[in-house]
Amino acid sequence: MTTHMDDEILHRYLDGELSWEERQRVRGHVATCPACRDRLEALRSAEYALRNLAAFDLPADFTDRVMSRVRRRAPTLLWTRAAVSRFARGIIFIGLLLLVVAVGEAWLFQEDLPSLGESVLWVFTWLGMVWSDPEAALDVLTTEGGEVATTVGMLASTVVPLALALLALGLFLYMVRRLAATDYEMPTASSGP
Amino acid sequence: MTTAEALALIAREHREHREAVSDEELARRAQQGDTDAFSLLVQRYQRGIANLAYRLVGHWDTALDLTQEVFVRTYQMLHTFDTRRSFKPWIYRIATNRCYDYLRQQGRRESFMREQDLSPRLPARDRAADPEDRVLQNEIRRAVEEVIASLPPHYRAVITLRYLEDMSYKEIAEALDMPMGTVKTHIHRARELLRTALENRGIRP
Repeated sequence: MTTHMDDEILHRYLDGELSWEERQRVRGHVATCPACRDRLEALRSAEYALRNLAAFDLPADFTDRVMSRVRRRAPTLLWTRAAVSRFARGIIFIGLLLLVVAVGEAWLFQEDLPSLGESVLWVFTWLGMVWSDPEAALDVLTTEGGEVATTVGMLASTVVPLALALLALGLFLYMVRRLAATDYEMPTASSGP
Repeated sequence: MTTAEALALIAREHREHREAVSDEELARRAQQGDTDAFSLLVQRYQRGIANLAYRLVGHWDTALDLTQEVFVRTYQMLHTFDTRRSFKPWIYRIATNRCYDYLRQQGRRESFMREQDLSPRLPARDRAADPEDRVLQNEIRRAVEEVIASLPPHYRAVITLRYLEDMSYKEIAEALDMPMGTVKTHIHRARELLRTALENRGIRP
């Protein structure tokens, strides 16, 4: 006579989680042990009773009621969030593209990139020049960009900050969108009452 | 083949085709603003979610209100759904969380179970021919309801998802954000309690 089966084994037997050998062992035991057979059969009855849990039908117009609420309330929210998301993705994409083009061209022409600070400074001084004295600005651009390589270098130095700015903006928008999306806090199961 | 038969065939094919579309695909279409696709998802899940909500909050009308809210919320959160993942645990997670919130607001964990709420709406799906069988079935059913009512909400959620929604232990674990071992323990505990309840009522297998 083997030892009695504990409930855990019987549960796993009902769940079909036992190996072939273990199943044989349970079957062999309950065939000769009325106490364990009764416990197994009682558990099985409980399982069947649970499977017969009552389920209720919904009113016929329930789907329509839900959908009218969904159509009435939800689209605006969904639209703005989805739109922000698309916009952010677009900006990130353009930023990356610009970055690749700028770095690629600089590499192609073997031109050293000025540092980021220098580039930004250069762009702002040049923009200021455009504002105050457009002709001088054009002069600077033509003289300083006299050689092709220099022009490319400057192009890169202007495009890189622009690309980085776009990337930063895109990522920021994406984060804001994520924040907006988590308006509903998901409590964990264990925090239920 | 008559015209009527052909039409019936087309209708069936259409229906099968519609049913063949996965939840995840419908969710993807709904994400792009296809409300008809979302409507199909509502049709697929409304009964399950309403019954889950009923098991959790104990009032049918409240359960229906909560179910509506769950679908509105699901639609609003749809863009956060990753269509590579399974939709079923995802929506049931929204549903259980909404019900837990409701229970927390109400602060009444003990008020579930009103027999008068249950009896009029019991489904007529298994009418036993023999009146004695019917008495026995009602007795078993009452034992089931009492055992479920005596359990905390997490247990009721696990049991409903398992036995009404036919979800796997893995899906339930995902939906309720609990380890699979806990899901199994809950099921086992419910079985044991019910076994005791049936034995106490003299119902033997």
